[in-house]
Amino acid sequence: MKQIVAGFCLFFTVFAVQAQNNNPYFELKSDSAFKWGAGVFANYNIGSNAITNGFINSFYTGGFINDAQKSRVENKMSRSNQIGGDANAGIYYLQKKDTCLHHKTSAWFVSVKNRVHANADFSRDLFNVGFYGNSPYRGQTADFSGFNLQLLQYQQFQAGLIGERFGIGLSVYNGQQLLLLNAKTAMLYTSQFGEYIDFNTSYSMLVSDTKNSGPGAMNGIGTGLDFYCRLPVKLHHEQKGDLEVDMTDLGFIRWNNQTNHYKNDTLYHFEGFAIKNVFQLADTSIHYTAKRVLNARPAQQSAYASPLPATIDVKYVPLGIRYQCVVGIRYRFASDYMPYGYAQFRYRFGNRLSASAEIGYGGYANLQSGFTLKASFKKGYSGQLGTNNLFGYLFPLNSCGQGMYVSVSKVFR
Amino acid sequence: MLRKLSLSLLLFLSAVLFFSTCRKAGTSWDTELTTPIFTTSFGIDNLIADSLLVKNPDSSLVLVYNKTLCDFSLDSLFNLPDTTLVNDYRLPLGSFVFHSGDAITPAAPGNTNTTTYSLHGAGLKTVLLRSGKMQVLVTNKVRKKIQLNYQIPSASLNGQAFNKTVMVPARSGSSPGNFSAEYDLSGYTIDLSGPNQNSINTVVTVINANIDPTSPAADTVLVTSADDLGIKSTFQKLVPEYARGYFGQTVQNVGPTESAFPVFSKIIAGSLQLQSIQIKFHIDNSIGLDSRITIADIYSKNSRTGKTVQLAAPIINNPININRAVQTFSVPPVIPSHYTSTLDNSNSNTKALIENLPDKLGFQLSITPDPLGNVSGYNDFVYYGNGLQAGMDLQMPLSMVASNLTMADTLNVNFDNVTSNINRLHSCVLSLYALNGFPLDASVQLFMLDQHGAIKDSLIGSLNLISAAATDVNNKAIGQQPTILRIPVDAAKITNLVNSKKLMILARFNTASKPNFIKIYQEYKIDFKLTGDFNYTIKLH
Repeated sequence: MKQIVAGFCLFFTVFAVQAQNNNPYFELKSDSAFKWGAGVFANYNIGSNAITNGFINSFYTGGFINDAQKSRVENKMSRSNQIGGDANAGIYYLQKKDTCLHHKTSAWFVSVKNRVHANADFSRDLFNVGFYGNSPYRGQTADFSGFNLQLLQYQQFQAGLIGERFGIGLSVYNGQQLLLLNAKTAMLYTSQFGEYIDFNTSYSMLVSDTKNSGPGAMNGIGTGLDFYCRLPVKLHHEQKGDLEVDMTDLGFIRWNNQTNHYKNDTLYHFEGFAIKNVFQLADTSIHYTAKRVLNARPAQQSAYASPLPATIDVKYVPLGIRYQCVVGIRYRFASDYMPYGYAQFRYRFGNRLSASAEIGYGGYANLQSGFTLKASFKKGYSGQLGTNNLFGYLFPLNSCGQGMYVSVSKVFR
Repeated sequence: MLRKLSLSLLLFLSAVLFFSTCRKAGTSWDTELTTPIFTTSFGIDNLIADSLLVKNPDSSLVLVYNKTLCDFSLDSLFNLPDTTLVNDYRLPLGSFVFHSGDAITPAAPGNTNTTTYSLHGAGLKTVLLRSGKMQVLVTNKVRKKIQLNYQIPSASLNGQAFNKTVMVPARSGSSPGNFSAEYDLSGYTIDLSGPNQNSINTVVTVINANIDPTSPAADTVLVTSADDLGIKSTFQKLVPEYARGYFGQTVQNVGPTESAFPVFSKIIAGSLQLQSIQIKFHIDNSIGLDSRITIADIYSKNSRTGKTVQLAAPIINNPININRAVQTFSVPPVIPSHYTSTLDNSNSNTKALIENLPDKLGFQLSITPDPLGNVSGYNDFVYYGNGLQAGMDLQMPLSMVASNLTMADTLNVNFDNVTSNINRLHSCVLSLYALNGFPLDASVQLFMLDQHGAIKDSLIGSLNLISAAATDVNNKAIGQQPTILRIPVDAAKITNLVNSKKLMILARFNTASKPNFIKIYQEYKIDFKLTGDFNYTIKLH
């Protein structure tokens, strides 16, 4: 029974959806009854304000993307569109610790995580040319300007303390892969009859060492800070709830001096292949025509420090035993993320089961909804299963976000 | 328990990592792609080599084709063959004691050798050698060194006669003493008129051999009839720079022979009507002898049609006499004599000869040197590099009427590297944009051939029209006329295309202003651009 209680305490740490998916132990209560525990978690989250789940599913699962799927996406497109996502997995260990430096604490912890993040900002024209082709743009310019893409993969080694009102985790990161592309100008002109194509682009790109990639690659090292604090909110000297501030991934990775830097300001003019003498094809030279480079420089290699897409989450959590109504706002830096406001309803069914539902707007996917179920079991086991975007599974053809997370933990008393 | 937990965590983590980083292969979608494929420009210089075209002041073009019919040079008149002279000196009987400085060879005139060359009817008085050498091999069976003096009194260089003195080693035991040397004769002038100046082709040599005169006087040697002195002189690779004499009357026949006429090599059908054509037949004689040339035949042959047209002109089978060149004794050494005969529409069938659209020209002629015999008294001359050439210069103003004039070219292709992706290309529409600056209507076709050259399908099978440019009152094109040809290509044609091994492009031309002749100007050209609208499935791997 004690283990069940302890397990519930730990499982409660992942009560809050989304924000703490990667730091579930931050919500551990100081009065949790356990000696030590361990857990594993994983989540993925993909969102866009234009790309539908049906489209993403077909793309991901290797299917055929038909015109209807493309049309649904196109209908949601604005001039500037975002897509972003994360895939994370980790393991952690908790050890009960009541005080630290005369402050009341809950536990100390260590964790190891694999982190993948990608985000992009792209134009309607880029999508249309990519998935419909350039024929519809004959006599027109397809404008891809402002396109940017960020792809990060890194491993996080974290240790820290969990307190009742404040928690902190210090991290060391191993940078595995980086791709940063920023196309300030990118315009594709297809002439009316297809006699020539002009591509005018001005872009910069950073790519981590391409000779050293894949699992185990060490192309950079960084450090970062995660913390939370819970500030009591009082009304007429009576505490009504907490204002919680969570900050994660506040840090950077310094990629090594094998990082490739590309910078080009180029106009390509393509007229097909030039044939010198059509009546002596066997002897004539056929060569690529009219590539004009205005300002291009070869790749240079040097170190580069990139900030991590840090997340700040501020929410009000009222006091409550059986249910709570939480409201908050979240933002991710340097990642094309729109401010995300949300409301969350938490309900506890006895001591072993709880659920939460969330609805919000912003982020990558605009309107989002979430639902989480958590349960504790015998022998200190507990688990949770949830989604950040229920609409993504209920209405995959038209909704634009999807995500799922799962965790399993066990504690020992 | 902890171990089970760790194992579970590891498996779970691995699964999550797998699904979070892998995308299944095969994602695909259809696109409509528009892209230029190739661009090319066709001018008359693409059909006829620049070296064959001459631009008139008004930029109209004349095709000029020069053909050498024969090149009669010094080699054709005579050759100085490699010749070996052998001299052997020995006592006729018994033995004799020789002292220091005693002569082994007979005294003059017995030491003089006269050699006459056989030059197949040519009789030379003087030769200046451009190159050549003399190799001397001496075998001495006398037991004393012998001093050998070799002279060619008739060969001189800078006023000095050829004169070489060498020491030949003595016999040692049964091994004779040997000596060999090679002398460069380049630049030597050889008088071939003999010791009395009344011969031809004759070389005089003088050989004197003595017992080593530097040996002590008391040091004698017994020489028997078996102790001979052998001298072998070989004249090798003698090339005259100049020769004077009489070169004979050996008739030189050239042909019958055929050579390629590349001007119309791409034409496979149709006809070409020329406004005019001129052939200049010329003979240039830089040899100091009179000659007679008889042209037996000149003809054009079209191998495709099998038609042969023989030139009918006054020069055919009428001997042409050409005078000797004049020797200047300066630079240049000769003033050649010339003969020219111009053939055109008025005095020959030159139009028919060329309108046959030949791929070969054939001819047969003969050259008779000194047809009147040795009238110069052995004073004919020839210089190296100065011969007798006969040739013809064809001048064809590109003013013509073309009727279904069809040109073709075939090229080998290999689409093996695209066959794996070609099933993603469902169909396409090719667009050929032509800007025609010629006053000629044109049509193009493109055929797919198998490895044996058999036509299997066509990309452009039907006749089409690329309209001629508009012309002014002088039938000169004004600007370029645009034409667009749309070429739908379905999946079957795409398959046939990638399976083809050769492509044949065929172009047909017709003069728009028939029967008026049109001139071809240098600036005329047709610009082609081929673009494609492709229905293509992109597939990610």
